[in-house]
Amino acid sequence: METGGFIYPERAYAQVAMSASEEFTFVCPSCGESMAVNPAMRDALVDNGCVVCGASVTTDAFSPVDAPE
Amino acid sequence: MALEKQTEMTRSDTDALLGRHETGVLSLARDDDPYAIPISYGYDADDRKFYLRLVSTPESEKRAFLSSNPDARLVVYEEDEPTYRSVVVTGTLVEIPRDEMTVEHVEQYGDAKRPLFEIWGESKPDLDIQLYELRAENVSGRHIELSDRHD
Ligand SMILES: [Zn+2]
Repeated sequence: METGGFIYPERAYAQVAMSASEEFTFVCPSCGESMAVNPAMRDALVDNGCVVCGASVTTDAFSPVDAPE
Repeated sequence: MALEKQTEMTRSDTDALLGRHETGVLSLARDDDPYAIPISYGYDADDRKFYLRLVSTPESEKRAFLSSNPDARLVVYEEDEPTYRSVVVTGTLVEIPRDEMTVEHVEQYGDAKRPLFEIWGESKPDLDIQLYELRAENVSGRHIELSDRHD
């Protein structure tokens, strides 16, 4: 969906971090939402709860993504 | 009930009201049809953005209204006799795609309240929860003091 083309500084940072470090798969135990996240996003989700449903999230909700072949 | 005075609220008063509340009534329009729902929100006073979680199903009326970044109006008010305050926000409601989620979004939604008016039930995985930003274009607040009558 069109979001206006505005790039948040945080988003640019997240993309840099994404390419430079390992990724995780986040699966929310409460709402089932799943998404690929970088370490910064993982920390934010643990601190703030699931962005979709608001439920608390622990590091158990993240599993490392294997490096691409 | 004579109106003693009605004044425009300052930006800081308006922001304070929006910050101390977490619910309001969101109105959307589609053609000639109005649609209004109670919602809960998180408010970022610096960017004048509201962060909303809305639950809908594919066939729902709500989905139809949400489908095209609609113009929106949000009303938040409080009454604390003899003072009545109301804030009307106009802006555009924009869905935040999951793959464009940022750390900032996660933090903003951490401050946002859960959808207090939404039905969650036991089957959250079956619900379609969408995240929206209401980008305020105009925010106006009014403050009314009723006259202090003892008759
Ligand atoms: Zn969740």
